[in-house]
Amino acid sequence: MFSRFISTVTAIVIGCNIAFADENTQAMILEPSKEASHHYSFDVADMLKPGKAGYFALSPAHKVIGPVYSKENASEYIKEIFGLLIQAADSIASEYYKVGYDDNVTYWTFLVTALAIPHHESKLMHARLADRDLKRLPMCSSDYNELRAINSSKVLSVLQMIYREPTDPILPNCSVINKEPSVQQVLISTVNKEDVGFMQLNGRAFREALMPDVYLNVNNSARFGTYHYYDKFREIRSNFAKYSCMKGLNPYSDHELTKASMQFQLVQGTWGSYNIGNTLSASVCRFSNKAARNNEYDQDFKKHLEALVILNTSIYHKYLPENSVERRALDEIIYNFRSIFTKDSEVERNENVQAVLETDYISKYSGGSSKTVFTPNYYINTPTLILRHAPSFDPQWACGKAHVSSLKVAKKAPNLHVEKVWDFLNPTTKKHEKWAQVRVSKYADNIEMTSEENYCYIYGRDAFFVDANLISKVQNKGLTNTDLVGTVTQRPRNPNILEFYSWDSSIIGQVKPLSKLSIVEMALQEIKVRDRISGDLKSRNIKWYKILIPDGSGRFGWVSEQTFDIVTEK
Amino acid sequence: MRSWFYIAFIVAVMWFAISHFSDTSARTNRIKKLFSSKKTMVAQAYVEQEVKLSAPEIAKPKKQTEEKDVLSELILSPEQQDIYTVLDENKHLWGEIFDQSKGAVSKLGKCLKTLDRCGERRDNGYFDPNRTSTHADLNRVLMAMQEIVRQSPSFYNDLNRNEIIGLTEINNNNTPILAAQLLLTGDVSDGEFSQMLSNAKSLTGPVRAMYLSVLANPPAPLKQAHVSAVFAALANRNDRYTAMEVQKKLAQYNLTQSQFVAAIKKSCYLSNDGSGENLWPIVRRNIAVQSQAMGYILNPDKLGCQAPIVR
Repeated sequence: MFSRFISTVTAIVIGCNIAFADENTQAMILEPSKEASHHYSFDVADMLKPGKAGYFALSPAHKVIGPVYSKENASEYIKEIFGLLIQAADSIASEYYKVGYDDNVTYWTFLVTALAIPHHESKLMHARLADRDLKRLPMCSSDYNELRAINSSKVLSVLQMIYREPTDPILPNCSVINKEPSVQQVLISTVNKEDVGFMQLNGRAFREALMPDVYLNVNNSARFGTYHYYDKFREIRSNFAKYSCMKGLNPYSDHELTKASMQFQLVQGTWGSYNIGNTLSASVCRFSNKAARNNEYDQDFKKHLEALVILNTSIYHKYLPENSVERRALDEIIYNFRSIFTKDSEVERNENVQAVLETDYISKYSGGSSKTVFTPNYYINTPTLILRHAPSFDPQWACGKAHVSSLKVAKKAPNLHVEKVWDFLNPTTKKHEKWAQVRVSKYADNIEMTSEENYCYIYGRDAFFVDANLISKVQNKGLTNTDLVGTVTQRPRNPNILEFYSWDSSIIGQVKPLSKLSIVEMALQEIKVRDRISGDLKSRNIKWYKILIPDGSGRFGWVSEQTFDIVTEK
Repeated sequence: MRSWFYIAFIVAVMWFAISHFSDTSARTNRIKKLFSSKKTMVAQAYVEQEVKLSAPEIAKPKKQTEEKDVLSELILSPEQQDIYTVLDENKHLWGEIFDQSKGAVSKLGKCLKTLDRCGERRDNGYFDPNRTSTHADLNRVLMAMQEIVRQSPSFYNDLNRNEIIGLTEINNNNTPILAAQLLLTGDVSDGEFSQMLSNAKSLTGPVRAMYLSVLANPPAPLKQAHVSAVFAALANRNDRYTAMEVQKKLAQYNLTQSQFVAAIKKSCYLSNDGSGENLWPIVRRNIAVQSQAMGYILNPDKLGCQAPIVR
C-alpha cells in the first residue's frame, strides 16, 4: 500500500514537471519547468576533483582503446560515449523494436536506462588524460598503481597477475610514470576499490570486467555493462506481476500516471538490481521502500534519471552540441520516452538515433592496442645486465642496466625477462663472442636507463645488444607467471594444515602441506621488532609468498616465511 | 652410583623436554590468535620473537609429490582466456587436467549450493547468487572437460556422472547447459536422464528454456517425460518469465505437430499477465516465429488465445 502511495506520488511529481510536446519544435521537445531546472546538475568534470574517484595510471606502452577525457575534448568525449552506449543498447534491446512486437515503449525505456546508469555510476568518466606540464591532475597515485589500495584478494590477484606483471607492467610504479609528459588514467571506485570503469562493473564478481580487453577498451566496457543490466531489465520487464512496486502497471493504459510510473520505475528497478546484483523483489523494489537499507542510493539515482528525462540538466545535455546528430538523437530518445506521459504520443522520432547507430565510433581507435607487444622469452642470468646500443664492451655504448636482485629467484621468477630478437657471433672480435639483441620493457621496475637519448632507446622499434651468455631461454613458455615451484612445509604449530591468508590477514584456505605449489609472486612486509637486549625497535623484512590455493577454487592466498618453510625447486 | 647418575640425568632431560614442549604449545596458540587478527606492529614483533623460539623444530619435508596444479595454471588462470588453444597446446597434460577437473567439479559443485556460494556472499555489496566468479571458474572447468571428452571419448568413462548431474540444478546461465552437454557426449542411462529432466525445475528463465532444448533428444521411454517437462514450464503461472522464454524456443524441443499446438494452447494465458497489460502482441509474435521455424502454417489469431485488451 505504502509503495503504491509512493509510486503515485512519484508519478504526480513527474507529471507536474512535464510540459506537453510541441511537434514543431525540433531541438528542444519538452521544456522543463523553470523551477525544476535549477535542481540537479551534473558534470563529468566533477570526477576531476581530488578524492572523488580513484585512478590507475597506465604505462604509456598500453593505451586505452576509445575516447579518453580531457578538458579540451570534453564535448567530443561525451559524443563518443553517448554513441557507444546507444549502439550497445540497441544491439541487444532491438528485439523489442521488431515489427509485430509492438513494444517500442520498452525499447526506448531501455535506451534511457542505458544512458542513465553510467551517468549515475561514474558521471560518464572512464579514462582521463593527465598532463605533467598542466599540473591539473596528479600523474599517479602509488596506492592505486602499486595496488595497496585494493582490498579484495580476488581483484588483487587478477590485477597483480595481469596489470603488475613486472616484465611489462600495465600499471608501473609511479616513479616511472611521473617522468612521462602525459599519462592515461582509468577509473576505479574509491568506495570499495572493486568497481571499475564508467559502468562501475564489480571486478570481484566479474573477472572479465578486469581484463584489459574490457577495462581498457571503452566500447567493450559499454557492451559488457549494458548486456549485464539488460539481463536484469528483461527479467523485470517480463515479470511485472512478481514485483510489488510494478504490480498493476499497464503501459497500454490510457491512464497517464500509471504508464508514467511503470516506465520510470522499470528504469529505477533495473538500476537497483544492477547495484545489488540480483533480481529479488526486495532488490528491485528497494527504491520504493524508504525504510530499506541503502534506499538513499536509489534516491540519488533518481536525481540522475530526472536530470536526464525531465530537467534536461544531464551531462549529455550539457556537452552534446545543439546541432550535433548525437544531441538530436538524445532529444528523440527522451521525446519517445516522455511521450508515454502524454496522450498524443503516436509520432515516434528516430531518424537521428538511426544516424547515430550507423556512425562509426570505433575504427579510429583500432590502431591502439591494450595488449602487450612485448613477448618475454629469455631471462637474465646475471646480477646486472648491461644494455648497449652496439655489440661492444666499450662503456660508451652502454644505455642502461637491468638489475637482478636475487639470482636464485631469477632462474624461475618472471620479473627479469627480456625478449630476444636474434643472436649472432661478432665477426669483428673474438671468435666466440656471442651477442644477442633484446627488447626490454621501459616500464619494468628492474630497468635503469642511463641515457634518454633517442639512439639508445626507442620503445617498440629498437632493441639493445647484450652479451648472449648472460641470458637464458625460458623453458616452459606460457606459464611465465606461475613457474616458480616450491615445496611448502609448515612449522610445528599445525603441521597438518597449510593456511592461506588474504591480503587483510583473514584465513581464506587450508590444504595439507608438503605439496608442490606454484608461487606467483613474493612480497616483503616490513615489521618492527624490539631487540630483547637493547630494547630498540629494528626493522625487518618478512617474505610473503602468493600461491594458488590448490583446492580447485582458483583463488590465491599468501603464506609467510614466519610460519612456513618454502623450499624452492632447483 | 653411576646408574643413579644416569637415571637422574634422564629424568632431568625428560622434565626439560616436557616443560619446553608444553610451553611451545601454549605459545603457538598465542601465535595463531595473533596471526588471525589484524596485524599490528606490536603483534608482529611478538610473533617474530615467538617464531624464533620455535625455529629449531621446523619440520622437514617428508616426501615430494610431482603433481602440479595444472588446472589453476592452465584453465583457471586469469591470463589464459582461450581454453581450447590452451588444451591444444597441452595435450600431454590432459590426464592431469581431467583428474583435477573432477576434484574441482566435486568441490565447487557442493559449495555453490550453499547459501554463501563458496564464500562469495557479502553482507553489504554486490552479490548475484547465480552468477559469481566461482560459477565462472566451474564453467571453465566444464568447458575443458567437455573438450577433452569430445576429442578423447575414453575419458567419458572416468566421469563421476552423479556429480555432474548434480550441477544441472545450479541456476547459472551456463553451468547446467555445460553439465548436460558434457553428460550427453556419451551414453546416459534412463535413470540419469530422468534425473536431469527433473533438475530442470530448479532453473528459471532463459536457462531453463535452453536447458530443455539441450535435452530435446531423450531416449525413447523418456520422450513423454521431456514433453511433460516442457508443458510444466509453460503452464506455471507463478513463473511467467520462464514460461515466456520456453515459448520462445518451442521449435527446439522436437515436438510433434499436435504437441506443438497443445503447448501453444497451454501458454495462451501469457497474453495477459495479471497486471492488466495486454501481452498478446508478444505472444502472437512468439507463436508466429516458432510455427514458421517448424514449417507449419498456423494463424495465431485463430487459436483463441487472444485476451481482451484491458484499458
